[in-house]
Amino acid sequence: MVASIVGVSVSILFLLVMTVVSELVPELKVWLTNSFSHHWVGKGVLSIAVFLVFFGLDRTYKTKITEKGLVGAVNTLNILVIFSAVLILLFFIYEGLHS
Amino acid sequence: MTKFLETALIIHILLGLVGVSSVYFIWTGFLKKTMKLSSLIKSGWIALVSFVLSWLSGGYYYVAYYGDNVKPVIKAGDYPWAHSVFTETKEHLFLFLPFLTLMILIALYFYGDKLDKNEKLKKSLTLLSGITFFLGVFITLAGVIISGANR
Repeated sequence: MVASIVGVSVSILFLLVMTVVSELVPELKVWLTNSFSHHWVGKGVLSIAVFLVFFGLDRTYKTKITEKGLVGAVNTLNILVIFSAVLILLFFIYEGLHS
Repeated sequence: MTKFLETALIIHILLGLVGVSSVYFIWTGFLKKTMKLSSLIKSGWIALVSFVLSWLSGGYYYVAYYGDNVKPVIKAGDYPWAHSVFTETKEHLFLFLPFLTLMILIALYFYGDKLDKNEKLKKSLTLLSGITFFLGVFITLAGVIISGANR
């Protein structure tokens, strides 16, 4: 389960960073579009790849975790998801107001 | 719009609703004193498959039709923010849902039978499924706003 928490957390963080940076750096959006036919497809495919890499790494090295640590990891994921969702919404409200 | 794209859009909406309803079932299941693990695992699978298929069908509609045909109409209409805020946010937050549902499903498989004795982990997973549900509701409502702005 630790591997999946790590994989999902890094993928959410990756999506947050890609979402914001691809809007601020047009070259990245163009690269995503050219490489994956659409920037949204690129973000989806790459987030799955990121998940699989971190899931695989954590499975390989078999991270040991206590039950207390596991609760902490799920809580961290919860905070990360809320933070990322709110930040993405606020970012597009800001972009919408200034476009 | 072709029949195929229309079907893709309908599948996207229906499966999205099935996914959100299944996550709601999991969330309320976690909130009960005694969970029925097999039902929650079934709901987890339904939610995961629904979100992935909704992701694919909605993604196809979005890439093949929305950008060239719907987006310009909304941006030129009375509610351009429906695209710049809600479509943009929805298309990115939607990518979270399959990952979060997979996480819940894995937790149910590995720790489902221990959760009644581990209150703290149960609380954390209850929160995770609640967050996933409300994210799904937000995305659904964003879809309603976008459809309304296209009329």
